[in-house]
Amino acid sequence: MTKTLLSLLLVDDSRIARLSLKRQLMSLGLELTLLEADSADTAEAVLASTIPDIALIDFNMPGRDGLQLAEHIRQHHPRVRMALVTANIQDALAQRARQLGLAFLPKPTTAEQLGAFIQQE
Amino acid sequence: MDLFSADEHDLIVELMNLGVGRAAHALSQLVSDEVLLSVPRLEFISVPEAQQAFRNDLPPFLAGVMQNFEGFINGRAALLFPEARSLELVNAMIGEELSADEISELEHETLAELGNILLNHCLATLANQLQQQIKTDIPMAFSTSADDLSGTLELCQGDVNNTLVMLVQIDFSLKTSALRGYLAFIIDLHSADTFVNALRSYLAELL
Repeated sequence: MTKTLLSLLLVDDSRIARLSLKRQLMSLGLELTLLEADSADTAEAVLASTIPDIALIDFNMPGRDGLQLAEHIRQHHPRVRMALVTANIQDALAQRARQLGLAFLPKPTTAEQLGAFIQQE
Repeated sequence: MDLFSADEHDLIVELMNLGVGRAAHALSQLVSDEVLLSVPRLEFISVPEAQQAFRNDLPPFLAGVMQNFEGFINGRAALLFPEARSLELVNAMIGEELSADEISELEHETLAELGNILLNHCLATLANQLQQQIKTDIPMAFSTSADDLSGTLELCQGDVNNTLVMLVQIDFSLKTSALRGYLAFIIDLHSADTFVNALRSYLAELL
């Protein structure tokens, strides 16, 4: 796999979910800068200083949900590519995510799925 | 309880089979191991019957995750494991390079994420198949005894006469270790009409 320098923001209230994503991402052999947030509010604080190339966002979080955060990011940082990463595999939710221009990655993710999303143009 | 007809009961079992099957696929990815499942055993019981079943059928000490849901059905779902075995699952999910202390420290968080994935797969499959929508809350991990489980799940805090417990018992077998897991869905009967209507619409198209 070609080495690429990319920054990713992982937003999930579960430390375990973020740990799992980090392990899979590290296994891809890409040159990545990883940023983390455990809520929509924390993600916005991160975005105030650093704009990532990609954001992987959980849906079900305390406070604002992942789609509400995605709307905010779309409005203020339209170049950030986003995926909703969630165990909630309902068709209606996947459709809402796609309408917002997000990819939909069901949990648990695989390194292959993440790699394919990251390397999309 | 005869809230559901035989066809509706069969349909719920079939939908739970599908949901649990998807949850098993997810579990197998999480623990990097093959997961074999028994056919879910499904019972609809009242709160007092559920309290009795918890005492009779479950291991004395449990680790679990519960998650509230609302939409075309409202209630609370719980995933339960024998507490003595839950660390094996945690170890399988995140173990390897972590120490025993670290694994123990992360037990609740890991179980919460595991429950989030498994319970959401079941509930979302049910909603998708019935073309309905359901919203799930943040998962909460807990440790309790079988005797105290109904208290932990707040079974008796609502309207007991209008609460139905859908108890689904599943045997999980991992290639490396066998353990039994249980799923319980505590359903508010005030939402039963929309549940029954959704089942009937599905059956009307099918039959």
